[in-house]
Amino acid sequence: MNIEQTENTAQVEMEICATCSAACPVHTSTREYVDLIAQGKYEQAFEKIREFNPFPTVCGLICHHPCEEACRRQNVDESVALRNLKRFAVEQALEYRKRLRKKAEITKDQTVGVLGAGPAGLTVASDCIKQGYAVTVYEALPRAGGMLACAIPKYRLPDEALQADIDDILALGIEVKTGMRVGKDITLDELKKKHDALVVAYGLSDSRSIPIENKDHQNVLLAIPFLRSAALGEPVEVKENVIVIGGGNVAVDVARTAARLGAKTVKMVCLENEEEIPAWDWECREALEEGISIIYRQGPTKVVVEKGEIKGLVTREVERVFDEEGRFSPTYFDDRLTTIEGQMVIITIGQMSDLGSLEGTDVKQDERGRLVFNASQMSTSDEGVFACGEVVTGPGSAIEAVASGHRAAKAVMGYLQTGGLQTITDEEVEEVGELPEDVIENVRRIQRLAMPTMSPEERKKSFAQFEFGYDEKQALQEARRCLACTGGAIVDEKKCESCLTCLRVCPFGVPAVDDVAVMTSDMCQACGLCAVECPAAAISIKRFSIGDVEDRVVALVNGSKKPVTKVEFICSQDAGSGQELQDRIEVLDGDVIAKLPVTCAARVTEVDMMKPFELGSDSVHVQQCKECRYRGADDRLFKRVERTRSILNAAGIDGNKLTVE
Amino acid sequence: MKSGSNLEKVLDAGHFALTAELGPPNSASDEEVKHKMELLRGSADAFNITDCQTAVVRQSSISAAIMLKQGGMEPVMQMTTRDRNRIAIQADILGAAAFGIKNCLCIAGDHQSFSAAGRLNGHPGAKNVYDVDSIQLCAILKKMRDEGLQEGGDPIEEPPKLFIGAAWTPMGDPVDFRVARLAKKVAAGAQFIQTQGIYDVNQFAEVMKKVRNLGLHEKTAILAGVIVPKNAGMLRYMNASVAGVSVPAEMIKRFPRVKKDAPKEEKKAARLESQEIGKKISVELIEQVRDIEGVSGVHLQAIEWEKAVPGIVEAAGLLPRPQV
Amino acid sequence: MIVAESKPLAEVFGFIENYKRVLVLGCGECVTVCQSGGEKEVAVLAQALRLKAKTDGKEIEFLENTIRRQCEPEFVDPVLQDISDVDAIVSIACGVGVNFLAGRLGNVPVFPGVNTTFMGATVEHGIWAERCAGCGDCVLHLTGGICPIARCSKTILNGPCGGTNEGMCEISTEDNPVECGWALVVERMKALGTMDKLSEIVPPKDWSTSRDGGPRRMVREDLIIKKESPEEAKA
Repeated sequence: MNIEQTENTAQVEMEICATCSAACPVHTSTREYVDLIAQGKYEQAFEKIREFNPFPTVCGLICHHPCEEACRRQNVDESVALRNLKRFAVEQALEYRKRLRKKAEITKDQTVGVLGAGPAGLTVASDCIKQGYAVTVYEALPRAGGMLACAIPKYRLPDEALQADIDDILALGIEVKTGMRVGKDITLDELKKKHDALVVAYGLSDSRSIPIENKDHQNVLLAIPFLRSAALGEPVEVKENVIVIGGGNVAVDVARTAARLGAKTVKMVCLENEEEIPAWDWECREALEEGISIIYRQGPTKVVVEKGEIKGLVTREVERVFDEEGRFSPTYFDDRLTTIEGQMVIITIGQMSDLGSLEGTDVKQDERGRLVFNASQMSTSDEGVFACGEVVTGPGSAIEAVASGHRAAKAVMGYLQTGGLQTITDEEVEEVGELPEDVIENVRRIQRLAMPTMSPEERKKSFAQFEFGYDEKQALQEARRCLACTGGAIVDEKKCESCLTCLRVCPFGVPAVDDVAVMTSDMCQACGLCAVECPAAAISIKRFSIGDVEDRVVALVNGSKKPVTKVEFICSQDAGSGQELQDRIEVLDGDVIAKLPVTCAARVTEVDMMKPFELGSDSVHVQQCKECRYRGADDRLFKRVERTRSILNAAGIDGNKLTVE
Repeated sequence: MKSGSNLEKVLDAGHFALTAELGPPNSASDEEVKHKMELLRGSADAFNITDCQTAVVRQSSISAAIMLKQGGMEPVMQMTTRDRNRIAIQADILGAAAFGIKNCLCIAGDHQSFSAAGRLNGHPGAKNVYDVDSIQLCAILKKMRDEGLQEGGDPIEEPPKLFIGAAWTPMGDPVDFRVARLAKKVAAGAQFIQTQGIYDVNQFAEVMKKVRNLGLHEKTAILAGVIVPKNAGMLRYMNASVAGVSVPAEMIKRFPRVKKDAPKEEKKAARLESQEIGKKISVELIEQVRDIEGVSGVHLQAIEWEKAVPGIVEAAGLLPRPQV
Repeated sequence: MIVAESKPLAEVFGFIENYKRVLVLGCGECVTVCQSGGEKEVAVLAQALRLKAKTDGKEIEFLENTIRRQCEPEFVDPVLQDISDVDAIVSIACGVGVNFLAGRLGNVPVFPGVNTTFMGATVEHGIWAERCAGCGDCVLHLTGGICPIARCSKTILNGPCGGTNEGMCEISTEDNPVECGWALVVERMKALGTMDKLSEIVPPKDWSTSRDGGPRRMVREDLIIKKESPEEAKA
């Protein structure tokens, strides 16, 4: 992860990671992008998001957000809406990202062939070409994107959104050959001759079925083909009453898609109960809002067909789903049967890979039909052929596929450089600890902003995107709920004099002072008060660069075309637009005002307040927010202003020219 | 009998002793002292000469004491430790003794910052000495007199004859240590004690009980301090600002009240009336403290009002002074 | 710690107003803790001096630096090697630092930026009070730990004098409240149950161990490192 280091920041002994980053499969610098959004730097936030994830738009819409589940804010009130914020940053950078497109420079002779243009495959391709390897991606379907394009419904992931990510990736110069099926249009041997390394990234393209009576009826559909047809815009007929077998996220997608295609009722039937159901709770909730019903604890036994038409589905009650060891091993009450009415059944109980194209090659499968795979080397049984994504990990999320792709890319490039297989170890991350009670008490409660959403009645009518996204004001407000975990105080032990000032001014009781001040990152809220009060200038705050305010004053005032007459430091806590968060010059009633937003007005120092006068300003104003969230900060600010006023007077400048509100 | 001073003899003989105060002038002339001498002559057994009281520069206590001695009156020389180190102190003692001065009151002295009170510039920036404190000073005098040795141990050819005195603030803060400190002064050699001004006689009587319990009244002669009040304002000031002095409210009420914008004649009349009341109160205080067992005499202070002393003393029935 | 207080800006400026390149040098120890001379205060003073220079129409360049301690040669010498083009130094270390710097600098004048006042402790954040006078012959065992030299305005050893007023020294004012050190001693000795010790007369003090005896030194023979030339060392 990236941490901004300036020459004055002390050596950080170990990179302690925020829980959000730690939970993310690719360890996105979550806290950093949220902070950038809060500063109005949306384009930089976008770049930060994309640092480790080539699918920022996709994830901003459909990621299952393990980051939010791990967000420490939930101990105070609710976790920060990290996915919604990601989406916001992406939406702000729509034009900007296009300007960033640049073909990667090919510097290596060796080339890489990637089989499958899903998120895993495209990630491998992106990583390899950035290191100078020419990459060709072979995709059986007529378009790139894999499950993202063909299975995720459009109301969750619109075409333009997915395409924005794919276009950026392909702009690197990756060659994509769609409509090319391995084994049919090109053999593995030919691919091995063409490329120095191959990556199998097939995904789980096929739906599993279940051996129930009448499963081959024409109105018994499988999930993936159903969703794919809907995605590709092919005509799909849906009966009046549809039964969806399955309790996973794909089953929910199938059910909601069926509803939108015109089914009057859609019933999901699953083995699990409400707690056990594998689909994410928010997805279940959205489905239920849309009128879909979920029938728990029922196992399908047979499809009822009368006169060639499906009448319903017979199910038996589930006794239990998991055995004592927690393994999937359902048992049933065979005498407790129910018949559910319906004319169409869609089986959504899982996916499997289609490995037929690898029969007879050195890329072997095990006795259960899975690829023989060394997970630590990302390698198949055939040297030079690697694999990644759901084809080897089993069902997973888009971001997990990206993570897998990164690993494979490392393995491929290691192999190409050394000629041997590398062991790819996962990055060790040390997570920040739990938020202590006394800190929680001192954090102001702010309600999480709900995503503006289309009403369920409206949603059902079409495949239009049903979540509208945050506007600027909402995004800024939500971004400011972030506790800036691990972005806080670092003490330069060589300078610290254990004077106890930080301990006395901290609103959260963070510092412990013995030989030197020790800042427990579990507790620090990165408010920055200790750093400005420290008489030894021994404290820096990770999320702010050293001397940032002073440098910005100089840059802004010296860079102004007209001589600046007034400098205003304005607390950014109440800002409702990115405009308000920029350093800028405004002209008002003849005054040329340099405005600098600051995160907490109490971080403005004596030198910051004096500098403008040296640079020629007549007056300086410090504007606080309406209600500071840091206890005692306003008192320190007022006293500092008083002191600076007397210094100004002693220097021959009217101290009343420095005002504070 | 250590010194043979008049004060010592009066006390030894068992009389109720009386000392009064003479404030030296801010002048190089001897006229003022001589004038005050005549105002006070015969009205007390010995006369204190203040030593740069409140750190304000005045003619030296020793020089005025010499004038008194040569003029046939017995002085009580006052010596503060604020302005002299132990070398100068011992030299001054020997010099004063050579003129026959025997009574010496040993005090630390007010801090020099007090010299800048009111309209005075004073010398608040002077370096203070306080090489020794009042108790150590008593011990130095005792050693000189009884052992014939300087503080540092060197012998003195002709030891001075001294009657050693110390000051005492019986009701000062912290109150429960004041008697113990008195005991220290006595142990160090204080033969007579002059107290801070007393207005709350009952309070003083309570403290004297403790003094008697320790038998201190027999080891040293306690002279109760009576400061003659000129007006209510003076009493109020002392009550508020002078450490260890508390004035009962009823006493203050006895004085006439006059409006600020009252006509000149009324003010003058009130002033004169206040003075009379002040004198009367002084007499009453003298009589009251005399009744307290363990009180051996009175130290009467009429600050810059020496001429009031004879009248008060007479009204208190203390004239003529005993001849011993 | 040694406590020092910033000198008025005009006074400090008066020292250096005719120089061109002035180094403001801070110290990382006592003066950092009492908020008068650490790295932060160096920045504040330098900026204030810049403003004053501007107001007075003087062109002076102010440099800033802070070292660990200004009373050790190993910390001070590297700075001094680096200041060939500095023509004056304002040191905001305590007086010790100013003295020390001056002793090691040839022709660059050193000016004090703070008034060093006393050895004291923190009363609360922002308030420090005198606790020790460095008399060289500590008598705190006699007074329950409350110093009669540092905390009695008259350095009385057999106190209190008659001037104590509600626990405050006779020199106390509203702007400058001074506790009666001896009132504190009596209170403390009471709490310790050792009041009887206060009845013992403490004799006059030997002030020669204090500044009255002249500038002082402390020598530890056992710590002095033998200075050998390489030849001597080999022999």
